[in-house]
Amino acid sequence: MKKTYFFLYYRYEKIAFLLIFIFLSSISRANELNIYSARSEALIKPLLDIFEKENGIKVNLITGDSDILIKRLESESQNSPADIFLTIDAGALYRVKKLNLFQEIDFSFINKKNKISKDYYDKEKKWISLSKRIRTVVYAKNLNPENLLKFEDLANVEWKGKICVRSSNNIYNQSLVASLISNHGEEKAEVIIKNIVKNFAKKPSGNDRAQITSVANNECNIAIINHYYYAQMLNSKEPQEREAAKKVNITFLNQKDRGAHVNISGLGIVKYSKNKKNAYKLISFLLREDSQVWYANINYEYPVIDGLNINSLLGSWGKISLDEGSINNLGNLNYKAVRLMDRVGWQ
Amino acid sequence: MVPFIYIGSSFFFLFNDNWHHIIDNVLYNYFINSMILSLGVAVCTFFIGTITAWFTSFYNFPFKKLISYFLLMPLTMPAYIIAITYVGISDQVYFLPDIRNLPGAIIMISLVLYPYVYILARGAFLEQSKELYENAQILGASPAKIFFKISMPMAKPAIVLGVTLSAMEALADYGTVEFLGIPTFTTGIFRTWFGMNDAVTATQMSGLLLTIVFIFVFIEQQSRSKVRYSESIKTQSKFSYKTPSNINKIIIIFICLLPLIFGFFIPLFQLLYWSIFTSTQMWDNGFIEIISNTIFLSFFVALLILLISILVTYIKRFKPKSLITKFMKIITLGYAIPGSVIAIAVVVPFAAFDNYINQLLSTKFNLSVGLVFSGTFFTLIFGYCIRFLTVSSRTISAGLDSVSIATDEAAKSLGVSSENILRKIHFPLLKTSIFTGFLLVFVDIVKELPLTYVLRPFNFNTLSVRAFELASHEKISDASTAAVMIVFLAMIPVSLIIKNILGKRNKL
Repeated sequence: MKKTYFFLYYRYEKIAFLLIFIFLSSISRANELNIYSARSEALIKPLLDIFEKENGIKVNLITGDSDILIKRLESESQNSPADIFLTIDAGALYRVKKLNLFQEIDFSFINKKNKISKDYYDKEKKWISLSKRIRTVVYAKNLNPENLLKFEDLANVEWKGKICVRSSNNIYNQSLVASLISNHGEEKAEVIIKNIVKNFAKKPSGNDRAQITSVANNECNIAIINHYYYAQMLNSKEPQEREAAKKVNITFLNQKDRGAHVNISGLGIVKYSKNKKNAYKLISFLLREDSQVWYANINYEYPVIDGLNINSLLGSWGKISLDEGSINNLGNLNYKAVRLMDRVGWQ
Repeated sequence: MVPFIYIGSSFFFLFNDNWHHIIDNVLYNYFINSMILSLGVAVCTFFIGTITAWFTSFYNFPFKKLISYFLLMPLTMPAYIIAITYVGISDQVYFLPDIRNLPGAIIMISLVLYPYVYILARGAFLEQSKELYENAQILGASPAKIFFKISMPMAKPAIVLGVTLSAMEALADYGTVEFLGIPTFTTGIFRTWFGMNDAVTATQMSGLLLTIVFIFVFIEQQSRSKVRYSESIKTQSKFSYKTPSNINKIIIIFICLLPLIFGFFIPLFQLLYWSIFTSTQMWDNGFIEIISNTIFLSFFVALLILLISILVTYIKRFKPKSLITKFMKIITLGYAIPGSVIAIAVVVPFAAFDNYINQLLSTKFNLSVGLVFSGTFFTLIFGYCIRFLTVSSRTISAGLDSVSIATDEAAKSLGVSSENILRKIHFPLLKTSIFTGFLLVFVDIVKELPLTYVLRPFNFNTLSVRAFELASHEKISDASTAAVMIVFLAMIPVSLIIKNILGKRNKL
């Protein structure tokens, strides 16, 4: 038995040591900027490294799932170290705003040259966009796209057994359905989605790239995807991916009416930020021309600043009309969208 | 304990409208899929694990040592990585069946989990004494009868443990089922939490999942405690393998190679092939730092968890009625809770505690210290303990169970002190179990994703986080370098495990 107690004693000592260590390490340092980011490291760190060098500000980054980071922000409340919350979906920004964890962004601190149109920031200036992501369709090259002009057209019987799309757990699909509710109201949106689900070629699974591959493999004729995955596959280092992408065409829907469904990546300043000045510096930096072009070159996302010289592939698709009016509604309609998809059996 | 109270306390909140929605539309589906998945994995891992362990323990065939060594290797593959890899393969090879369905998920998860059963069953088979078999043979028992009447019952605690661990892990799986598009309890929890923004209902669903697991574990423990098998005869004599006919040899080799090829070689070569295209841009200073982070973290946390589990195992043996024993029963359920749920159940109470400390200090001393625990290694390690204590403490207690209490009593009656009982009797007998427990946890932490992803401190990354983030850009080929590194790194402890067991065998 003596042995057992010895172990116990040893453990307490260790824990005490650990506690002191943690206590000391938690005393914060000056001239920092702490970022909670749902945008993954590879798609934000290179920009932050440049910012760090230019401004001499130490940037601390933690990446993670947006909702879990939000939960963390919420539970840490006024003691949270976070200054910036950065994410890849309008719905997540809305949730943080709803929890009252963002402060109003004072636009006078941001360089005037970097002007973004009003649909791309929150009505109450709690968050701003950094890049645009368009959700649309690709189709098999032998398909005639004449009857494929609007998202609503996907509900036509003509496409029975021809549509591929990923699971409704995915936020891109949830936002897409939210935008439909925003434009048509819940009832009409439910009828449209119900009919689209009836046209599915198979049970939803895999990611957006997998849907494109399915079209290339003739498992279906139309796939609902985010535009940049198609662009990345076209420019992939892997021959198979390039081959698959070459077998399909992209088309942007609803060009004659509200515009194609668009979602954004964006950020807000956390309410209890202790490094506000640095936060504004970062926002100005991320909206600067070269940073904006970076999104287009690295991940094929569209910049939120108009009139920039973006890469040739995105340029070749021309000017695309976008459903910008819905962006501010995606967040609050997400809940309805998920329940709607449960009801119509979109797995 | 805290996270469990947090999950349990959710039941005190009212069941809101979302429950009706969930019950009306999706709950049945979640429940059935989760049950089929975990039972399917239990059955598959049982058959693959026991059969391969049986062949490699008792029969002589060419390349036996090599095959028994490599049979553990699928343990190095994270389940979601193997699923992504196979989907990648089946997209390119037309004649392969689609695995994006429930049977596919069962096969994927079983392929990487059967080594749990294999290793524990093999350990148990090897510890059985030769005399028993010889006596049975002399008495005219057929090989089949020996298998079912002697080997199986004696190895039962170990096999049941392996199967239960696999079933629990399958129940907690999120990455694989999410990727393969199967709605289960875990995907449902996250859908409710994030999609419907309803943490209360989601936590209540976790509580329900926990209850199901509790029932499972209860049944398992009941079945274990009824009979207690302890070895009384230990001999030094060399065990004689059976040498089957040539045709049977080929069949045995074929059967043993199947899980190995599908669970390890095919996915590994596919990952290596992908990494050819991407590895040059992935190798930088940051990547080396990530590798060393992974090694240090896994090693020290596995060591800590080992110490704790030795402690609690002994408390359980000497004081089976103590409070700690009861707590442990609950904490070991951690293995079946999805990692992200544990993470949330760690984040929220600790942040609340930190906020309380701050409030206290600021009112009493006008001092602000910020967050003390949250966002530090402390919470991360705490989370690991909850999740992986089961693995090591159960491996050790399965080993300890085979040392009969009569041995202790005999030693005591001969005047041996408790300390010497531990040092001279238990430790030599338990060495294998302790080492195996440590290595299993080590491998698990190397592969672990959700806890690390949520709880790691600022600017700290591990291989699995890197692999996951790159895979989440939907480019498995980018993730392949990190995934291959996970596999290689995990191969070190796995090789040690098998060496440990093989070495023991040779001494017998």
